[in-house]
Amino acid sequence: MTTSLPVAGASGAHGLPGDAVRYWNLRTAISSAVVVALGAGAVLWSDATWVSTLVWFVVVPIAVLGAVVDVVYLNRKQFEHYSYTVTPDFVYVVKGRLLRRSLTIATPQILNVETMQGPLLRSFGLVQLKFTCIVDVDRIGPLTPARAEEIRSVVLHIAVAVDAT
Amino acid sequence: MSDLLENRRDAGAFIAAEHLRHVPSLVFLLIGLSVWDSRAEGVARTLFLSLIIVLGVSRLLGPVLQWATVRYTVTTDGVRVTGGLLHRRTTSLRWSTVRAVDVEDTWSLRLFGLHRVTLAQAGGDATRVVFRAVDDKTRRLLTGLASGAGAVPLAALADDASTRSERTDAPAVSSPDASPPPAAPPATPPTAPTAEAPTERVVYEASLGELVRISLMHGTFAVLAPAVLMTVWELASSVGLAGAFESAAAGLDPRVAGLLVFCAAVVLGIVATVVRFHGFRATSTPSALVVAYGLVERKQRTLHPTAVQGVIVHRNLMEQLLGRARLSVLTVDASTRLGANVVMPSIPVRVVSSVLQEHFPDFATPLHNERSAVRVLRSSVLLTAVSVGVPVAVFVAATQTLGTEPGWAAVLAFAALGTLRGVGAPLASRLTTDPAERLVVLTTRFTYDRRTVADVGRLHGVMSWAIPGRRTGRTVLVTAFLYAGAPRRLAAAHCATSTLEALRSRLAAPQPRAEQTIGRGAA
Repeated sequence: MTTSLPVAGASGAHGLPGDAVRYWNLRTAISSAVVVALGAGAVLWSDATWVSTLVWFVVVPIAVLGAVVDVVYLNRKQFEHYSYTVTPDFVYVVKGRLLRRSLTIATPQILNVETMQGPLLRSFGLVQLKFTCIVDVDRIGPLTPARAEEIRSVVLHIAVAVDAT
Repeated sequence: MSDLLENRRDAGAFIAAEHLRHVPSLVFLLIGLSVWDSRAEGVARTLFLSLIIVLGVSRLLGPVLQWATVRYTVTTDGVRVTGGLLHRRTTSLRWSTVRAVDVEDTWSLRLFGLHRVTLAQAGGDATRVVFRAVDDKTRRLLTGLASGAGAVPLAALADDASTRSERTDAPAVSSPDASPPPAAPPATPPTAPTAEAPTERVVYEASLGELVRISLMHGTFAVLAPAVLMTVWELASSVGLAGAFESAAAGLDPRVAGLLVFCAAVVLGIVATVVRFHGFRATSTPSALVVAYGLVERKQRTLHPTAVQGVIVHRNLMEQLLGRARLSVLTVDASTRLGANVVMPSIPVRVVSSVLQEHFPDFATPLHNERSAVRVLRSSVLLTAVSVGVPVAVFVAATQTLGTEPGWAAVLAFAALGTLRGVGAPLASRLTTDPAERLVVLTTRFTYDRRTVADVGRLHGVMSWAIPGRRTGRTVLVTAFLYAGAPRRLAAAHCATSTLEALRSRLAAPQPRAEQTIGRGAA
């Protein structure tokens, strides 16, 4: 385990907890169900033929197919390629496989750390961690509450570094 | 600490100046109201009239309340402003935290020889302290203290100010006999002399001819003319003059009418530029930069060097053709109210280079040589043609092929233009550092040529998008985040891996906490 800054795109020191994939899968399923329901509502509300054609032959197939691809493949890959490193000097978050996004923030520039937990995250015992900076906001997660607390401590200079634990 | 001005009010003429300032808008409001009143009826009329009366009364009483309740105290350490009728609020700041001083002379204040002075710290409007109406001596005292009191005869200024500012219950000014103010600078002193100090040098001064050229190069007529012409047409319609205009235009050849409208637009643009930038003058002292301009409303901005976080050199197509550029500075305070810190509206590139070297040596990077300038101009011409051609093609295709209404086709064309600019600018940008890796430089060569130079130490974060490869992969977009008066992003599709890693390493190096690093050199 290292606290030196990884090269942009390289993996960070920590990954997400295993429940993250199940949380993403459930969220994907709910999102696509909402899209299908909205599409069905549009068909019932509108008499136009093109609306039903658009909904049943474009929107619904894309939503269902997208959900299947996400659940079977993409969410798992996202989990595998999502990692981070948090030290008193920098926060490094990297994610994505085909298009790799890496973010480096100077820890002293982080003004606030916020944990968020909705009903879905609560059911999995997870939280989202949001960094508030003067110029931008980014988040890590889902994480376990204990891990989120460790990161908050490091960023706000409250306790020892996560990577030293 | 020594009190120079204690428990003062704004000058009494402030009330009259504020009322005078609102006269033009009040006249327009009454004209509009009289036109509307003849047509309206019922509850809506009553409600609207009530609203207007409340608005009018608040306009009348607002300045009186401000004058009666706002008091300020100026010391050698800082200022304290207290205001509010029921909810009293006191704002204090130390001179050492002041990064810029804005002096605005609206036409109504000028009638009474008064000035509006704003002291700006790092950050937005919440960090500002405003003196709404002070006389010239108080203005000099404030700008002197803010710029650095070393060269300011504080006692003389304070004494002189006492003769013109209003006093309240307490002795307003520490007279030389009673409590001589120290000649020493504030506790954590800015060390510069004042804007009026004899060491000031003129960086740039715009003549009338220059302002005319600037208006044409900035294309002010193209920006202003549609709005002004439409407003004039609306007004003419409402007072029944539109018919007269139409009959006069009917007798003209359409080409002549078009030429007349174009000439009117150009003249309008020139007048607007001359009024806005009249007497544009940038001067420098060893540790302050002062920019002043404006005919109806004279504005003056004094920047402490620690406020400057970077510079922007911008050239549109016309400026590239004529070998000119405009120079702005990035500062720690939100300064959009005063024209985004324009130092020079449009001057020859070689002058910009020398000004950068002389007055902003920390941010001076080489501008183009002649060969690269031609290449940049060529690509700007090409991309301008694309930027114009694509929306036109979208409009024509939408109206001719798809049979879309012209209004919706125009929306599509604007959407295409927005997308083109939104995607095209980062694609045409390159992020680099200077050899010492002390500066981050964003060069954008799109329909315009722009170079933004900022202190690497101002960066808060760096984001990169890359297509993974055998080693580090291919970077497709890098965004650097920094704070300079407002959150800013420097986004570029072109950035060498070494540059990206240099920026990230600088970020990851140990540094002070955020609240201490918003302003360079902040205490």
